Amino acid sequence: MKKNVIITVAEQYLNCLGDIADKLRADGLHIKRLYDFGVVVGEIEEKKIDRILTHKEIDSCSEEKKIQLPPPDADEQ
Amino acid sequence: MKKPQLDQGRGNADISKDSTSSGADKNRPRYTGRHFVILKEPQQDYSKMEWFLKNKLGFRTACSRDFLSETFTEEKIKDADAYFYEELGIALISGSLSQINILETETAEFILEPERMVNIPDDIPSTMVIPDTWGIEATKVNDSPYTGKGIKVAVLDTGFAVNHPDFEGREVIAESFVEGENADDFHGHGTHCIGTACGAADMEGLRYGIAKESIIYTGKVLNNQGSGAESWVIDGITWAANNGCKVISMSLGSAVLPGEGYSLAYERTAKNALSKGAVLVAAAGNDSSRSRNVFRPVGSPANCPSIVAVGAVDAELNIADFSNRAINPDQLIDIVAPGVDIYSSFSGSMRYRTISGTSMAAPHVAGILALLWEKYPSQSPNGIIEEMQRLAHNLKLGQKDIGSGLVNAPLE
Repeated sequence: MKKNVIITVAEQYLNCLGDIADKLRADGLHIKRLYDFGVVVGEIEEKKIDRILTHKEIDSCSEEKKIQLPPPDADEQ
Repeated sequence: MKKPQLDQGRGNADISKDSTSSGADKNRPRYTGRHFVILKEPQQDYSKMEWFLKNKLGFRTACSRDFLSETFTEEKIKDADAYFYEELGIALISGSLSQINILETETAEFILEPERMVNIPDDIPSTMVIPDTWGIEATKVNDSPYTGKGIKVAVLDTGFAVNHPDFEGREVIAESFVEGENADDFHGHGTHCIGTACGAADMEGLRYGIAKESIIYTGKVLNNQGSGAESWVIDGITWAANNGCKVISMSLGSAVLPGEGYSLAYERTAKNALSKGAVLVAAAGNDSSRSRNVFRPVGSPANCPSIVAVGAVDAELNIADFSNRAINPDQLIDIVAPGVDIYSSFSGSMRYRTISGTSMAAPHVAGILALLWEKYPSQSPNGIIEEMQRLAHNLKLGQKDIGSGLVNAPLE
């Protein structure tokens, strides 16, 4: 089952984002966004998520959180 | 006819009995001191009444028949004690208390009634004197000469009802980060938040918005059902920062557990936006229920160090029951703002709604940040945040609930 993940690249490796993106693709990540400030948004098989955290250039990798507001007619928003 | 002697006669005793009167009415005389003498049967000959008043009480009389060809005025009968309205079977008399007592006891054919004062109703407070919403008052926005003129303010939310009549003529830049949906707001939340941060007044003149001359950037990062994803928010923050927005307001978030850290991805995104000159603001979240002793940590992304976390207070400046608390280390509440019973614009035919939440508090801070940017255009984002905290009103509540205190607009 595929999951959306948000990845943060360690700041000292921001100058080699292209190489890191290649490594992530090799891990099976489908990259949707690659921001130059070191955030990567992508989709990957759930069982492959752990591979991403094995790279020294990666600070964090977590499943994308959802946000949900209360319904429009709720008094508390 | 003798002039009325106010507050005399038996009607006087009734003044204090009128429980429906306002305070002003109670100080106003209700009776003239004169009385009407009314024939019980209108077809009766009033000459018997006339005889009684003249001969038994010694009244000087005048009669309506004397004024058939001229206009009747009080001045013309100033010497009379009684004036007969012949065709009505009524006399108006101005006798002494003893004469009135005689009339009451000796004339079964008449009814005696005190003459009432007729007053112009009290003025109703003019609709031209329209108050602001309590949030505008509490944050001293109306005392500020600043309007956020020319400052780009981004609100990342459910979009915006761009055709809302209160925003006619405003500069609005809209973008949707929700696949398959345009930037129109079919939820209402986004329009409410933009109303507070960037609006002005409603069609009655009631001011509910703060940065009323700002440039509105509406980034739709939550769909029409109010759902969104972290990556849409990251997209929205980056879009706003790249477009020169000086304020980015986010009335959204996810609950955070005790002991959980902040999102590194959000923090990195916020730091990037900060480096481009934007101040980021987010709602601290509504997960607490303080009246039941339930306190929850500041939500995400408000818990990021580079984002101003906003809690909510009510109109009595007490912390709102739902407002989250600084529980996790270094995930602070930075400031509080009005967030209970907040009136603002809304999408659809409703046009306006009064709702509560830290979602309503965050746009108050965003709007005031725009005023600060207008006052200090050369400041850095951190300099603006420091000034915002310096101006905050200390509410003498715990720092983990209110941070620096209640946000205040900059004055001259």
